[in-house]
Amino acid sequence: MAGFLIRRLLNALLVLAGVVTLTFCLMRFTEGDPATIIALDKNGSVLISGEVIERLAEKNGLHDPIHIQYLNWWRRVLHGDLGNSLRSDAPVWDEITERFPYTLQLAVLSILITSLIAVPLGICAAVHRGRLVDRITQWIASVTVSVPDYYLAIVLIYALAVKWTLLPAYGCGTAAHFILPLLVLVTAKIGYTTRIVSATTVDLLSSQYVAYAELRGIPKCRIFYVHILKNAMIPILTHISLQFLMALEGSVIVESIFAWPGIGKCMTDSVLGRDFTMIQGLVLFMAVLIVGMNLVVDLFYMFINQRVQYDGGGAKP
Amino acid sequence: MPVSIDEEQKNIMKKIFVFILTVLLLIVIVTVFRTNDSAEAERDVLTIATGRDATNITNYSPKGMWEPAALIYETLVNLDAACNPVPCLAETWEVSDDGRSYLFHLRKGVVFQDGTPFDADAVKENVVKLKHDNWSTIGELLAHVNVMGPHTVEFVLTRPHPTLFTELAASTCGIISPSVIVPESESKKPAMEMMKENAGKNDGNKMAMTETSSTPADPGHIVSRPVGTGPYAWNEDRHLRNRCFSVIRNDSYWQGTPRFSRIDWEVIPDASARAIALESGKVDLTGETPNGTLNLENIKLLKKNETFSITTADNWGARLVIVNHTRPPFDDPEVRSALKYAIDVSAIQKLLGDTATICPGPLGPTSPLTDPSLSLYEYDVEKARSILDAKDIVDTNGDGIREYGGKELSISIVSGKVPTVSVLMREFFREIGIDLTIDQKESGSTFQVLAQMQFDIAIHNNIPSFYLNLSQQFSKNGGRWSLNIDDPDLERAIEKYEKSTDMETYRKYAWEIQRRVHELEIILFAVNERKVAAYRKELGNFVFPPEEWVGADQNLWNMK
Repeated sequence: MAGFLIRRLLNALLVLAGVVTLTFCLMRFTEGDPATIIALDKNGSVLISGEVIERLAEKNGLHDPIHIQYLNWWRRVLHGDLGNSLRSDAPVWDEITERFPYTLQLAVLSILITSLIAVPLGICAAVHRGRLVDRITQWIASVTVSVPDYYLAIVLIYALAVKWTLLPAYGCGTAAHFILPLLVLVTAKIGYTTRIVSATTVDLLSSQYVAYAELRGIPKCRIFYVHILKNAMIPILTHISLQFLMALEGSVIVESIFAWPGIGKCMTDSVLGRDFTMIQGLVLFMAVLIVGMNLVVDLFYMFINQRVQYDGGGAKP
Repeated sequence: MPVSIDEEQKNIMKKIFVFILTVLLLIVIVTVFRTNDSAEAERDVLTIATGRDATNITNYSPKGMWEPAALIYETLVNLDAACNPVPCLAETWEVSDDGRSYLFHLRKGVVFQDGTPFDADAVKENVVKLKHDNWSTIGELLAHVNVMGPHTVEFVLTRPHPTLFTELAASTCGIISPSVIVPESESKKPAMEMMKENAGKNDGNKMAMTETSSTPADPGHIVSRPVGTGPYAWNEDRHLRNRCFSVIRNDSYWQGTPRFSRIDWEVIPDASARAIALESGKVDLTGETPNGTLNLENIKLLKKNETFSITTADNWGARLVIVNHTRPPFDDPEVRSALKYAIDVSAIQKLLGDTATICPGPLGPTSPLTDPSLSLYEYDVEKARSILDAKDIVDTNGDGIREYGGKELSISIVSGKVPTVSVLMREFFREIGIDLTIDQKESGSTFQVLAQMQFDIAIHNNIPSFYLNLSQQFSKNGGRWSLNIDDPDLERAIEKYEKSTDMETYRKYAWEIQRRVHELEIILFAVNERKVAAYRKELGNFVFPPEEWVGADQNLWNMK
């Protein structure tokens, strides 16, 4: 176990260095002069001179050779400083800690609600395969997968916030503000999750060991909970953890439409605005989070299924 | 086992009870949510939807403050609807005959929102300390700032600059309380601590005559807190980063009592969501600044709704649709003119509706330098075809596309995020046998492509400084934004334009530049994106200032 953890931590460090280096290179080789883009973004529709752009580039070391910029960034990070945003001048760490809790709230709640609805629904559809419940579930899954987030969000705001004035149209702060963004996020996830749960359960229901257990006269209830559900949890958990990781990166659409001050919109704006320090800080933060989450999920596998062992390169069922 | 009637009734009652309880619970939840929202409806407070947080928490310079800067800070002069300078913090002024000296007589009795008196020293401190920040465009022109008396200040320029008043009216040149202009190294201290330390440093109106050069401009100064002389003061308590920000009424404002007790901005990044927020009654106004623009569909819907008013206004600048005159066959002005005849500008105008005005030259219809004699070309496909035929650019293989230099004439247009105009142009050019492909790029990449002239046709981004500085774009020595036009007549006009000492001469040569560029057929047409504000009708009448850099929200304080 200790050996496994050490190996995973070393791997994690390599992954982090790789991700950050790749992001650094990709951003630097993207078209466009970052100093101009940032200067225009900062100053907006006001008079802007070449001198302003030059000063901005000089101040932020954008004229330095790429390898110097790269080393400087790592030097700062190793001293615990992610730097300041080139666009807002705010410390990157402050921006992340300010925005991330909002994204985390939505991510946790949306995954929780999706799981609470999709897992029983998927299992129910699998157990009653071919019957009305299954058909209705499949239909719900198809519809929710097909409806675009943006469209659904606008329709929901129009109906529930403008026409019936039941809920706030945008913003955050009260419990009511969560309802519309969560409705959109859960709707987007529920279809996929239901289908994954249903397909996994159907596979297990038709497996040989389940048939053997039935022949041995084991009660159906015990077969379901002990043999089917326990085995089904690994792919389901994998899917849900992936969905959760994706949710942690924030939803640009939901954050833009509902004015939710999360991390997704910040990431998109930073990429479009060539805010290098912000992008690198965000990528490093997300990479640490994702690598950490993967480790936690691996440990969960071990916890829910004792047959999973950790040997050599990773988990072996 | 049979169930007794009593038990059955009990079960039914139980179900009904659970149902009623659930319904009641839902009603309570919904009512609580609704109450929370309606509590926000204060009509003395104006709420505006914008697309981004207006502030930069480490520096409250008006340059980075967007919307609230126009209400917190005031400038020496303002502009009237005809773009003439009118008094603001400067009551009167005198300009020397050589156009290099501007003597401003400042308004007496004005105080900053922190109690610091507004005087000539305050103006000088602003210009000297923030020369490289919000005064950077004027800073390079200034040779000296001389304090001639407690309320008299002189700006001495290195060369005449006829548009100085227009630039002084920009919200970036808002005058900041000297007590909050601090060295960057002190910016880590809490704002209140810095204010205490700086209080009193600027007391006393002493006669002084100092050159800006003798007080070295410190590029390391920042504005630690937004404090100006304007009708509203920054409301730190209601600033939630990336969510909302606010200003409160300045009760001691020198022009009278501002109409709203408070103005709040809600940050809503999506344009449709901003329009819906307006419809839902959560906000009163949106669309008035470049941060919060609405899209065409939203504007159409809001126009149909009688509850709202829409105010539109032209900008000074325009997005130029330009052809790369350095690439053959478009190095020939006649071939370029064929492209102009092939474009049906009325169709483009119809497509863009009220959100834009199509112009023949680089400036919008309301700019003080626009040459009124320029006109758009008539749509004439036959003429376009005949020009290309005469230049021996013909379709030899019958595939509908003309050949040039042994190859099919296939060109591309560098377009922004929404290539609606480009799609229409592709159809126009196909009519004359030119294949146009759309090269869609995000704005960051477009700048580089334009600066390096790596395009056939491009929609040139609107750089506001071009509005009044035509030499940057049209002189071959114009720097990074130059279109590399090699034309002696144009260079001569630009030289005279730059040496003009008065506005009349400046305008005369600005017109000459525009005419020459028009003759060179480099600008196919220009899109002047209009400002559109949507607001609740009962608010009154929203009036745009003559140009957006003046600060679109400037007139909100006394909105009639």
